[in-house]
Amino acid sequence: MNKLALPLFMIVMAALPQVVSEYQVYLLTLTVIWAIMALSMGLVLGYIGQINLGQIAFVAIAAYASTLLRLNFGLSFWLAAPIALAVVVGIAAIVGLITLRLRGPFFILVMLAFAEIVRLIIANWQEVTNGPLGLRGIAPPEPIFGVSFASKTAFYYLALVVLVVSLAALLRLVRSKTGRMLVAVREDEILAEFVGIPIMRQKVTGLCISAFVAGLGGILLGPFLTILAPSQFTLFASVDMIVMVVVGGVGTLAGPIIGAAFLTYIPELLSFANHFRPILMGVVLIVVTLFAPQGILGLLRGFKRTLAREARDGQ
Amino acid sequence: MLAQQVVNGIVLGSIYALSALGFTLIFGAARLVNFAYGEILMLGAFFTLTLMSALGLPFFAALPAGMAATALLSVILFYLTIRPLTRKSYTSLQGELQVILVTLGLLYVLRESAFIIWGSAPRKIEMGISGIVMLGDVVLTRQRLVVILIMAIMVTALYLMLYRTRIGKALRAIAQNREGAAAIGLDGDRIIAFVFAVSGALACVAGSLLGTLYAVEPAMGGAPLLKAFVIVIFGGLGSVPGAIAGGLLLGLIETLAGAYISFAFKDIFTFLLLIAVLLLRPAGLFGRTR
Amino acid sequence: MASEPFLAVDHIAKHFGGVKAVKDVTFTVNRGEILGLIGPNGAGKTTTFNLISGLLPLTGGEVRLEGRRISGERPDRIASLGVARTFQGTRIFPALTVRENLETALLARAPVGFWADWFGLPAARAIHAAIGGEVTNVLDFIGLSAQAERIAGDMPYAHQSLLGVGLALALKPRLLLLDEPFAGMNPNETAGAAAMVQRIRDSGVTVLFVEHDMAAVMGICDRIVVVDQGSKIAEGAPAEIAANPRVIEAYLGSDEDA
Ligand SMILES: Nc1ncnc2c1ncn2[C@@H]1O[C@H](COP(=O)(O)OP(=O)(O)OP(=O)(O)O)[C@@H](O)[C@H]1O
Ligand SMILES: [Mg+2]
Repeated sequence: MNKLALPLFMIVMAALPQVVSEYQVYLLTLTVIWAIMALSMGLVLGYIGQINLGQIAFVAIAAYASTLLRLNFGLSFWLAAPIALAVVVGIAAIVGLITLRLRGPFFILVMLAFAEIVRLIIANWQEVTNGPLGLRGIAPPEPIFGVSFASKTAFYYLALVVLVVSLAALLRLVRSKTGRMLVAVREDEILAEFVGIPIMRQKVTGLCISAFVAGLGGILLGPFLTILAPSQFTLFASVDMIVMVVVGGVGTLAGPIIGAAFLTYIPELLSFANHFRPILMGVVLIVVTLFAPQGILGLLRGFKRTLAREARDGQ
Repeated sequence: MLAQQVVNGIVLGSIYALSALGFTLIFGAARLVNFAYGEILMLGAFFTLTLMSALGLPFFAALPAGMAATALLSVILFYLTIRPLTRKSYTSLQGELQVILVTLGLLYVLRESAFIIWGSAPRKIEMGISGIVMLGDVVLTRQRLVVILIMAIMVTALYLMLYRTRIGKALRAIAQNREGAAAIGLDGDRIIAFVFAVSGALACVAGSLLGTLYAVEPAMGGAPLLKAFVIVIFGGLGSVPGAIAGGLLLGLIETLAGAYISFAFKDIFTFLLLIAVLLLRPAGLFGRTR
Repeated sequence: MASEPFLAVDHIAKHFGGVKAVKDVTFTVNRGEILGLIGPNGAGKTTTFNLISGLLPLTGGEVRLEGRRISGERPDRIASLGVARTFQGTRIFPALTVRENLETALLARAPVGFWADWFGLPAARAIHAAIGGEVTNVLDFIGLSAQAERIAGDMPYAHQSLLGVGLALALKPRLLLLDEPFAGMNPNETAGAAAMVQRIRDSGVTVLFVEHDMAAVMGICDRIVVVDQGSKIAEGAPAEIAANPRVIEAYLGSDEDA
């Protein structure tokens, strides 16, 4: 990515709430939270090279764990969140050790089963989770260091900080040894093992990092929506994340963010009711996979090349 | 009580087995995981239902017509969305992921189209068979007996097709060795299109039967898809006898677990079992070498 | 010490179900030589490599490196003991550039801390810098300096094959196993690659290689081992092998089959 892109992105995103309506701030926050979750899926698709239809379970666990700690034990958001994240990473490590040995369809199916188990537990464990009715009236994060998060705009900035810090951290990560080893394992496991890469350890590390990022999205979800219910955490939420990654561009970190913005705003811009969102998701997923497998970023790159060629030929 | 539950389990298992057959056939022949399969099943049920309500056909006349329509739809979707991908790369991870993405997209499109066309209200398919039979003190509606019968007929037909017809033999050849089959001049695409047709027809039967026992609605495809996943992992991805045994097994497990353990947690139980199977036999279940 | 050979392949066997890919093969590799392993298609050469490098478990026999048993060890362990290999048809990391490929191989065993590298601490940076230098050397050695920034999977096959050798060299082996390194090369490229194999040997690495290009094999090998249908049928200097009637028959026989 261009060196200027990240600071520029930050400035624009930070300035936006100053000039737009409250509803737009809501949409922006939604975009940012989706972007965080899509980023986590981007890591799985692009760097582990697997489709994870269970990714939403990590979001759900973090969301419910942090919220339950606040509601039932009176913990502050700032204490509940790290505990919830630790729980998610721990679960991801265990799940990863079990499932990452499996390849292709088997990994997909078993992660799907994992996510269904998590969702069914949430839906059926009435005493704790309030079942299908869900947890309601979730308060915004408590003030910290004199900053209040009661306003929609303040919460937006919190989400934005989480996104930008995650993005910066992941940009470094993919350029570090860990990132390179993940790509090597994705490219050729036999060769990777042969040059001395501990394959399982790399994959589990990758899944844990990805689950951590998904968990970041999860802890924001409760205070943002004020309600949590099992119906928010179905297979389709995982698919939505996949669509965002694929539309933006697999194997990049900017891709998921572009995809999240695209898929939050397109239905809005076309003023489609909620009803058409799923069908749009489906069509977009098919069309992009068939005709633009590199996503929007790939199209942009191709466009830039064409422009360059035309400029050259014009001379 | 136990005998009654076992019979109920076999009825449910018959439908599960039928659902899983179409799914596993596609995987066996083309190594494709078809996430849109549950929606094909749902559309099959709607086709049968619509033929009955619009043309006033009885169930047993509407079902074959519905099967033909579903088979056609399944083939069209194959040529439109999946073949462009598989032509490039059948085996690479990239290709595999892309097929999954496309069928996931289809899942959304088909389900929402059904919402738009038929609305979300659940409707029942009337088989037009009433009455009960008593087997000892086990009560069985005639309708449920017919369900078991239809599944037996379908399985027999499938076996005859696989083992007695030329195309069935070609299909088994391709499932065993793609390059080898291509080398002796079998046209892979046409055979796989045929598998999609058979799979669609089976899905229509499964969906329609589910519609006679429960209800037809756009969201009905989700559960059979998940069941098909579980079943094919129990029975071995791609295996026809495995799908039948796995389907019956799952029907029994669910009914018994629902009756004797906990209805609310019966699905969790099934998924835990699935993970256990994958853990205990990982090599046997994905014994594919690269 | 009654001088243990550098590598001893001792009555090894490998059966795949009923297929006896390797029946009973015994030979030794001396330190500093180039030993050719030849035989008709399906003779069991690649399987022998897989057994030596630990990719497959043996059905029988054992492999010793400097008297120490290495069969039964994991492939990465055997590689770290100094036995590196290339793969028939070459394996590389296709989506990475040539430079990144070599970096990856060097980085895999480098003692870079997870957090130190993530935060870009000086210690980690120093290691990256050192690896950058080593990559340049390997690039020079395999003659791909000009292609350093190309995506490996997009290169012509001959270059990918050289990169495969580079990846093995990056593991700093003492023994290098090459599986058909000249396949898909034109005579010019083969001559260059053959010279490279000799330079590898001159740099102190023992080489065991499988190749179908007889002229190249005869030209650079010190000794040759011939296998056919899973058994060793001859062993000796290139001139002896070329004149050996069993070898000629094995090759002619396989030609008739084809
Ligand atoms: N994984 C395997 N499973 C079953 N049979 C195998 C396997 N690997 C190799 N074989 C069989 O073992 C025999 C030897 O194969 P191998 O690849 O070692 O031959 P090779 O000498 O390297 O041939 P080539 O010159 O064609 O590379 C062949 O008959 C092959 O079909
Ligand atoms: Mg070979």
